Amino acid sequence: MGLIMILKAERIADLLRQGEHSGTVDPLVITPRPDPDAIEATGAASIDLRLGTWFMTLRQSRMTHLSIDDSLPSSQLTKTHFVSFGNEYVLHPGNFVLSVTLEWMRIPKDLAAYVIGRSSWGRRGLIIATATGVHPGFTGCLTLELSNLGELPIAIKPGMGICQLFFHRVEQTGKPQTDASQFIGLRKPTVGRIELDVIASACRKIRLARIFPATFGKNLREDGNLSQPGV
Amino acid sequence: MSSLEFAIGRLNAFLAEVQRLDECEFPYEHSQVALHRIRDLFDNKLALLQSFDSKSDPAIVKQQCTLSLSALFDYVPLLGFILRSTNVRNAFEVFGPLLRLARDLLEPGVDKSKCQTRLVLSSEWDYSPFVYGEIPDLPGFVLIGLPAPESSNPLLIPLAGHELGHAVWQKADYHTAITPCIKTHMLDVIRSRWKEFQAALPSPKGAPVALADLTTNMFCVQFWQQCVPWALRQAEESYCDFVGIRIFGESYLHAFAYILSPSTEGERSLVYPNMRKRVSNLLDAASSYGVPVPPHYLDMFDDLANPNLIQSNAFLLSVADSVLDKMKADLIDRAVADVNASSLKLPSQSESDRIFCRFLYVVPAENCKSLADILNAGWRAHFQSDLWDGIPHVRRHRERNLKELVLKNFEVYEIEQILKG
Repeated sequence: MGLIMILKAERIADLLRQGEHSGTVDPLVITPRPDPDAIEATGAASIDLRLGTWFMTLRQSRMTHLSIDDSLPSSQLTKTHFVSFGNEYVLHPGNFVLSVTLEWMRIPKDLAAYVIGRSSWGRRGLIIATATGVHPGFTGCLTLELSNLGELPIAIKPGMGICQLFFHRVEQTGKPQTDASQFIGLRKPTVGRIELDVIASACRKIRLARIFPATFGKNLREDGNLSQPGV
Repeated sequence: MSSLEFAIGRLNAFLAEVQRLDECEFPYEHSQVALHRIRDLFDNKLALLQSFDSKSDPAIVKQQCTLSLSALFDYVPLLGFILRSTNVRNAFEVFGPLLRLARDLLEPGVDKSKCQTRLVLSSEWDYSPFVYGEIPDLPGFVLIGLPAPESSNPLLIPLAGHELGHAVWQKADYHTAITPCIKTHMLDVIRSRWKEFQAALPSPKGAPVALADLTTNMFCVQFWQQCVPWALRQAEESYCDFVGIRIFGESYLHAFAYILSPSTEGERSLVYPNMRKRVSNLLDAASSYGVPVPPHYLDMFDDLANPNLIQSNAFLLSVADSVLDKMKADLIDRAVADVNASSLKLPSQSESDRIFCRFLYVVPAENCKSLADILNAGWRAHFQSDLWDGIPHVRRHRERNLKELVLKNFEVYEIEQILKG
């Protein structure tokens, strides 16, 4: 296994230029397209992304808490806001909001990326995602998690630089490597679903069987475990 | 209690509702400007009613109370329309491009910074799209709304072309300009069907009407003039269809079919040609404009039942239909002239092909020339049966992803327009 390298600015610029050619089979595309010459000139190992126009907040007045037992649709969990260009969204201290990148991107199968906040914003208290991984084959706008940990409200505007994207080469194994997640192809932020694995599903069923034995108690053994664990 | 007190109470309640709506999150200021205009209008109405006292003329008081009540009937639905313009279900990304399009069309040659046209983009709780014409007290406002369940469907945006056609029709005062032409055609039709006309004329007393009396006999004139408004409205609706297809090309045909085929139940409207005639006219316009017509397009539509009219009105409706046939070529030409007078870019096959190629990669296209090209590419992708077959995780939510992609392309297009200044 070779070393996983972070792509340099000039390599990113090259990939973006190649993506412009219709003959490229699996291009890296970022739209609106950053200027490859400007990327190259920075000499950095990342590209800057900007804030989009859609925001999403949690409905604090409706929810008592969040739980993996909830299968509520995101529309019941969140409220969506649109902020047009030239206007601003004020993020107050302690508040949390989901947003998106202005850029729609298409990541080829041999690349992955990480979203990192910009230090200039971080020093003002605005934290942008912790470590959002972007998988090979992803397409769409990236959901960003924004939180104001500072002491002053921060006015954020669509179109302003908000985060940066570091690219990595992905080891090629011959098997298809694409992001099959639920977040593909979207222009708005999304909270997504919390997928339970086998153990978490079984634990959830035990809990439900104790609370609602008539409905969920059929498979519950005397020792409190399920007769068909994993169901 | 008096009618005046009730009227004042109603206006106060209305203005309180306006105040509540003013607290909404308006994504674009035009809706809020419209709301403020309405508030000012009703503030004046309230001030007038409050100025009345025991010495005021009761007839004038009653008249003003009646007018204020009529205004409530007119404007309460409009408040709902403005409220729905703030709903995040709407395709907000199309606001900027559609506003530019409306300004290009309605104010050709005017410096962009001096354009007055405003747009309220909303949704309807009515499946008939675009039910509002220009509101006299909101001059310069264009109101566009798709049915609520479809208000985030970008592929239906071409239908806005029809609504913009109404705005052009009003601005050009075609009502005045075309009425003499309609009357001339109408008389020609009646002369060619003189016996039918005589039979349809409701039992005239005295001597039968002679052909020479067609434009002088008041009884006769009053009869045939009944169908002038029908013919005029049919002409307006057809013109609006032609404007829509001229601006948006093939995508207008697809959006039209999506929302209207095969047809609704019930009787045909007097102010529209029957459905197959309407579609046939649309296809004639498409042919004239060089717009490709989808195969078997006309077969997707059925005529509505004829209304249950008395013999004389049935004859008049057939006259109005015939007048439209005679007007059609002129209306097709007018739509061309009006769209060409603007700086709008007409749909381009090569451009929509280029955008479509980007859609195959699931990315928006850059440097688009028009909204129409994006929409034509979007519809082409919609009909491409093997679209994204090689990308199963994108294919799984094909329709959703295509709509998201088209909407994002609107935004990319708008950003580029902003950068161009």
